[in-house]
Order: sequence, then structure tokens, then C-alpha cells
Amino acid sequence: MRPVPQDLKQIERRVRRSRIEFAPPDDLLDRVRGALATRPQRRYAGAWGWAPRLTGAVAIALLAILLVRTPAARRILGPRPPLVAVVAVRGPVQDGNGQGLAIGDRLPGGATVVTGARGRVTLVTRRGSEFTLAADSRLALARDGKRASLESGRLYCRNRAHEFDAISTVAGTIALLGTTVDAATKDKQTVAVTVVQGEVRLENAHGRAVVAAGTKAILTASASPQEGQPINVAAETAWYQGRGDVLSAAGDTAYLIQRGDGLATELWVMHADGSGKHRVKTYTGTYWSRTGPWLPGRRSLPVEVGPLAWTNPDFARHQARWSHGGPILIEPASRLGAREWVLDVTTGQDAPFVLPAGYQAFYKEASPNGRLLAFSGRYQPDPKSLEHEEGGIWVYDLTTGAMKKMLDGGNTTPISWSPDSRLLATSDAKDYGTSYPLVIIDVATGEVRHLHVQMQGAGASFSPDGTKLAFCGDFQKGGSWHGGVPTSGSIFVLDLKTRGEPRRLSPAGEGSLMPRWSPDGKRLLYATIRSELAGNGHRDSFRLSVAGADGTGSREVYSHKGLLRAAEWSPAGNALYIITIELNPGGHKPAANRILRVAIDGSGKVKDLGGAAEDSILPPQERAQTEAAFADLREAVYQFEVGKIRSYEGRAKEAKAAFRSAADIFAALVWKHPLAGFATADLAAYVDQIEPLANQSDDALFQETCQQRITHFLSWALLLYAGRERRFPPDLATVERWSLTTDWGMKIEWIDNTDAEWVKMIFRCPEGDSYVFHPTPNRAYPKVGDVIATCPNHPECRLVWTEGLAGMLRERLGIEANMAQQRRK
Amino acid sequence: MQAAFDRALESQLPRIYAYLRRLGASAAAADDLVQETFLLAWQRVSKLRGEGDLKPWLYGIARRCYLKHRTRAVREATEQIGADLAAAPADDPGSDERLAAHLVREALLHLPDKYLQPLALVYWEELSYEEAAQALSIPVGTLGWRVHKALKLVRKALAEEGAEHEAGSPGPEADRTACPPVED
Repeated sequence: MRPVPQDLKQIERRVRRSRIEFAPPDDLLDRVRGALATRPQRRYAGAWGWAPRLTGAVAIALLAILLVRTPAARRILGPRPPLVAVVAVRGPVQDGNGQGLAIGDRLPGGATVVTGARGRVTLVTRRGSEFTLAADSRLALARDGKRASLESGRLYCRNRAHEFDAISTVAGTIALLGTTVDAATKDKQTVAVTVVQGEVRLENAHGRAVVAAGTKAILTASASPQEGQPINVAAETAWYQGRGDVLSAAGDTAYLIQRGDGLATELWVMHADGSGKHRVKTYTGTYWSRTGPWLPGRRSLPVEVGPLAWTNPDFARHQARWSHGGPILIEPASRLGAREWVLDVTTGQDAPFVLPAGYQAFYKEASPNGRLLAFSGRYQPDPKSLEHEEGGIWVYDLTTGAMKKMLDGGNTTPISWSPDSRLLATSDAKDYGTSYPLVIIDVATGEVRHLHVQMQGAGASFSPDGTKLAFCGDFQKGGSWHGGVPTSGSIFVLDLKTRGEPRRLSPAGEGSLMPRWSPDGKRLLYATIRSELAGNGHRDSFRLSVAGADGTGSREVYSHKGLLRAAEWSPAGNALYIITIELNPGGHKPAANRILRVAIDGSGKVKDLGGAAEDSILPPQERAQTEAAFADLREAVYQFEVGKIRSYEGRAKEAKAAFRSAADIFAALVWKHPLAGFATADLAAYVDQIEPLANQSDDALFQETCQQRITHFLSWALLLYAGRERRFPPDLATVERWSLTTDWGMKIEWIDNTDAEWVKMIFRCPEGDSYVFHPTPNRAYPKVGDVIATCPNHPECRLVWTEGLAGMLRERLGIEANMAQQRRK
Repeated sequence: MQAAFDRALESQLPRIYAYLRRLGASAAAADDLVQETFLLAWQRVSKLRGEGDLKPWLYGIARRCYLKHRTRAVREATEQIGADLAAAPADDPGSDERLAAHLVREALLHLPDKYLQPLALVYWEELSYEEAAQALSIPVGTLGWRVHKALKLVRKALAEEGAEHEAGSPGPEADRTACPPVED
């Protein structure tokens, strides 16, 4: 045997030499040519050709069977997963196959939704994006769930977290850059695009253009897209907001009930006889929830919902805690913001109602023609400073957005419109609660007329023909208020034409208010409210009386022990509708409504129409979904609380994870529980509020936490120290020691000063460094403007002695002096 | 392309036949495989881009046809070549050279297809690196690396073979190992 060469060159040579020459049989070429000539018949697969094919087929079949049983295979092979849930339907709405759609239906990617004349549908995704289709529209969802195609009609799209890439239209593509957009197909090749939020990029064969929020662009198939023109977005998207075409819902009564231990407020509607109770909408939050009066047309009304205040029955278990397990004195409530809505009860369509930035309304009243909103309130241009704050009465033009100030001062009394929407009646209450000169304001000219100099007046109401004014006046000293009006007055009627002396309708000293004209203007309804101290609380009662407008025939029609929320004439004028509040013992649990119909034809018949949670019964499926939604809501609030506490602790990663989890739950809530009736915009507002917290950088979170610690907690600790010791500390270490050894006598929001971990936290930046203290000479109190403490890491986080802090210190010194006096006694 | 195919049929058929035989196909199997190769090629010739691609492409098809039958073919080939050798006269002066070639072939044919093909196409079929890479649908760099690796594997296989022969009991092989080495 030859030795095996180590050189690969030699191996190469040997391989080359190992080649054997073979010559094909002579007839092979002819046979191949013959085979090719009869090609379709002969496809030679070899003697065993069937074997590998059969084996392959069996293997593929086995593999398929195996795959089908795995979740991954179900995703690929199974039916497509749902992409959108139908959460609101009005009129004829069908899918691409002509099947009618109902609330709760879910559609996969690739589905088509078609609305007929007067039809309308709202679709939401798991991640919180929303499509609302107007009448006569057609929308196709792409299979990949990243695009949609508006084939005709009009679409309002709220694209959350960049879920969708683009909407194609007849005129080109609207590339969504995380936006809210309203697209209306005008004809076969034109689409009007209004950008509500964020920005979009319009693209077609001729070019592209970026359109910013607050503008409207016309996209035409035959031309290059242009930038948008500034536009009143609210007016442009009014169709989506559901204002406008008003049907009569006269006689229906809307009422609010509270469910889920303070989680949600539901708006219900019943017919005049108490039948046909059904839920229109669910909003998160309960406290101070109330409805405003019907807007013109009696179809929509304002709903005011308090902050989401969650009272968990299982508080101890399901409660966010400090990481170190220390005590936490957190209130069992979460405040994520109060919101106001205008709700159309016939369609369930709602729109967030927002006044321009800086304005806050105490009492507001829409004009009978529905175009103006008069409100008494305040205006604070800088949210952080009270310097330029002003009070007064304004008129806000709902169509143009113009704001006009009518009256100056801290007005807190109700406002009433004349039937022709030209005059306002209110009281010029310059000094809160002491003086109420009755005035009439001409809205167009701004002229203010004092009606009767000697007479105080509030809670006025124009007669239906606009010639008379009923009001409360002749107030006695002291007493309480109801709806901004002292309860110690009497009812008067003033003839606006003759301008004579006002005529007294109710006896003096009885305390009457809430004058309400009958529809024919011949009679007046008024209430007399009494609140007496009894045992531990108040005992409330009220009486309702009806009198002729000329002051004759006054008689009591109903009396009740409880609180009066509202009283109205029936449209026919033969009965009264009364909403009373039955307070639960203790007064902590949400109050229950009761709606009564009182006949005033002399029979005195009273019908209890219900109106409480107990008699507002949901169908089983809706009820189940509502309960499930409440469970989700509780978890979301819990996660939000955890996020807040971890932020305070400077645990950025955990805080952001908790915020992310809360935002995701809020975003998916409507998708998961479409029958729970939640307002999509309500939950979207939470997502918008929480998501930035989840996405912020660690540095931003630390800075925010640092800011809170130094301005909120450190300032409190300093105030408490300075108040008790009657001088300023020499350094922060002294305050820290003092905090741990002294009973503060009060708690700062979430802090209990027995918790050493917490106290340490107050005096340090979340990045670990102690705050730098700037001592005052001789430990005197600082002057306004002095910088007291700074953060070594965040130059913008510092504590400056302000007028507010100085005032609080004076208060503390007073309290401490009182306490010392008490101790001496 | 049809005309080019006809030309290729004539010029390439003997080469493809030889290629399949060298890979170990028996005369009958090679006969069938050649027909199959050209049939498949004929059906798919419209997909081909240029005439220059034809040769490597045909080799590629032939290889895939061969792979389908390899298990059977290798067995047959080993028997066939063994029989050829047995039939060769022992005093043939070329017998030592033939034995060495046989051992190399044997080593080659026992390589995984991944390594066998680069060697077969480059050294036996005398395709360029580019053509061979095209036939195997791999980048040229990969082909070069595989050739190198395959040569090493052949060297290893030959070394093992040699060791086996030296340690083995005398027999027909013992006679052959006794033959004087021939210098390369």
C-alpha cells in the first residue's frame, strides 16, 4: 500500500486520476429524443418513483396532523383571529357577506363593513384603536391587520400606538403616523382629510405631502397632495361627535346610577311611565356625577362624571404597597381625572365636552337655540399660578369657539336664558354669598341691567313667552344653599314689560326656591327645602308647591323626607317628575335615585318609577360583561397605583411596567367587553394619560419623582418642623432626625413618619444623593423668593420659598399655638 | 432556447451519462437517469435564463435525479466496481494504479453528498468552480471551502483504509499491500 500523502495537492491529483471513462450506449441519444417527443405521456420517475412520493405524502400528512394540534399551527391554519369588535351600531350595518352586525360581534382582518343610509358603526381593536363609519360607507380591513381601505363614505379613525400603517382611499393613501383622522369621500376621486391629532402623510401617484393636526387637506387622485388648511376641527368632525340632527325624545327621563363600588356611572333612560328602562352609556368614575338639563331638542344632555374613585371592598388584599412593605396611608381612591360629556341618549353617541384651556365652569346653561353656552366660573391662564385668575360669567359660542365675558366677579349662582336666546338672567354676586343683585344681560350688546335695586335675587327663570321672570329673593341671613341659591328666600314673579313691583308667590321666611314654569306659562312649581340637625347628621325633607303665576291658588302637591335633586313639569303640564336622592345610612355609599311621577290633576297620585341600580336591570349577557369589565378596571387602577408608588420610590423599571400594564388594560377594555357599554373616548383618555408615563425615559421619571419629593414632601417636612420648632432648621439632617423621632400630628398624603424608609426617601433625590440645603441666617424664616433646597442631579428641581408656603407656615404656627394652648389647659 | 437544448442534448448526454456512472450508477440505472434528467430539463427549459447556464443546470438536475436513487445505486456501484476489479488480471502492470484509484473512488463515494459532489464535478467532470457552484446552487466561496474540506476527508479516509490493511489479516488484500509502492 502506498503511503497516504499529507499534501492536499497530491490528494487532488489522485482524485483527478481516479476518474473512469464511460461511454453511453449508442442508442441512448435516440431513446432520449424519442422520450422527449412523447413528453406529455412519459414522465419517468424511476422504478421506485412512487415510494418517496408516498413516504413524503405520509410524512406531510403526519406533520400537518401534529401541527394542527399546536397553538402555533392554529394561528396559521385555523380561522383568522378577530381584529375588531363592534361596540356601537345604529341603523343598517352589515359585513361583506350581507350579514347584519350587532354589538359584541368580532371581525377578523380581511373583513368588510358596510353601513346603509342612516347607519353608523364603531369598531375597536384590542389595543384601543377605533374606526367609526358614517352612513353609506364601506370599509375593508386588510388581512394583516395593518391597513384599512375606505372604499366609499366617511371614516373617523383613532389610531392608537401606531397600530395601523395606512388607510387607502379612492384618491390615494393616508399614511397614519399615530394619529386621529377623519376622511370623507367626496366623489370617485376626491377625499377630504381632517387631521384631529398627530399628523398624516398623504400619498398618491403624483406625490406626497404631510398634513398636520388642526388642518384639512383635499386629496385628489389626479393631482399631487397638498398641505392642509387650518380649520375648526370640532366643527368639521361634528358628525362624529354626534351633535346636530336632533330627534324628539320628549317625555323620556335620563338618570344616573352608580355601580361597581364606585367604579362606574351608568346613564339610563326610561319612558314617561317608567317602562323601557335601558342603559345608554357607562362612564368610569362616580363621585359628584350628575346630568345637566336637556339640551335643546331634548335628545342630548351633558353628563358630568367625577374622578374614578375606587372603593375596593377587599382593600387590604388588593392594594398597592411599598416595596419594603412599610405602612401606606393611601386613600382607597384613584384620581385619574374628571370629565364632562355631551351624550345623545337616542344613539348613545357621546362627545367629551371641553371648555377652552384655563376656563372652569360652576354653573352652565345652553341657550334654547343650542348655539351658546353661558357659564359662571373662573379663568386661570397659568395652571401653576393664581396671579391672573379671574371670576365671572362668560358666554361661549359653541359653533365658533368665541368666548365673551359678560360679568366680573365670583359668581356662583345659576344662569337662565330667555326663550329667544338673547337675554341672560342671573345675579351680580360680587361678594360670594352675601349680596345678589338680580341682573339681566343682553348677550349681543353686553349691556347689564339691574332690575330692582332693593331686591336681591337668584335662581331666576324666564316664563315660556319671555315676558315674566320668576326668581328667589328676600334672603334671610345665614342658612344653607341648594344649587347655588340660598334656601332662605321666597319666590317672586316680575313682569318684564310693566316693570312693576315683583309679586311674592310664597310666604316669607319659609325658604322656597327652584321656580319652574308650567309649559303653558300659567302656573309655577317651586320647592321648599328643609334640613334639620338630627342625631349625628342632617334630616332632609322637601315640599313641592304649585301656584298660579298671578300668585293665587298656592297649594302643596307633594312632600317627602329626603333630598330633592330635580323637579320638572311633564310636557303636557298635568304631572311633575321628581328625582329624589335616598341617602344610605352613613352617607358614604353612593346615593340611590328615585324618580317619582306626581299627578297634579287633584288626584295626588304618586307613581314610583324606580331609577336606582336595583331596578335598572341589565340583560344577563350585558351584566356578565359589565362585571368582567369592572374586574379589569379594578386591576387597571391597582396597576396604576403600583406605578405611582414605584415612581415615588424611584424604581423606574417597575413603575413603567405597572403603568404599561394599566394602559394596556384600559386600551383593551372596550374590545374585551363591548356589551359593558363603556364610552370608548373615556377609556382612551385614560390610555392617553397613562401611556406617556409608561414610555418615559428613566431620566424623565427620576426628574419627575425628584420634583415631587422636593416640592411636595420635603417642603411639608420643613413646614412641620418650622411650625413646631418655631425656627428654620440648620440643615436637612436635623429635619430628618426630627422626622423620625417626632409625632407629626398629621400625615402628608401617603407618608407616615414612623416609616424610616419613607422619611429617608423624602430627603434624597431618586438617584440617591441628599438634597442640598441652603440655611437661612440665624435660622430665621426665609423670605419669599429664597432658594431653600436644590438637587445635585437635577438643577431644575429646587424648593423656592413662595407666598403660598409662607401662608401655610403662618397657618402651621397658628395650629401649633392652639395645640400648645390646649396642652397647657 | 429549444435549439440550444437540442445542441446540448447531443453534446452533454455522454458527459451526463459518464457523470452518473462515475457517481456509481449502474449502466441500466444511468440509462434511466439520463432519460429522466433530460425529460425534466426539457420540461423546465423555458425557465432557464441563458445558454451558458445550461451545462451546470443539467448537472444539477442529473445530481438530483441521482440522489433519489443513490442508496440503491451506491450499493450496485460498489458491487459492480468490485466485480470489475476481481475480473482484472493480477499481473496487470496497471493493477496497482487501478487499486489506488479504486480506493480513492471508494473513499469519495462514501463521502456525504455535500462533499462528494464538489470533488466529482471539479475533478471528474472538469467543471469550473463557477459552473460547479451553479450546479450545486451554492456560492463559489462555499464550493471552494467544501472542495478543500472534502480533500481532507479523502486523505483521512485513505489513511484509515491504509491502517486497516496493514493491521488486517493476510488474504487477497495482503497480496495487494505487498505490492511495491509506486512513486507519484
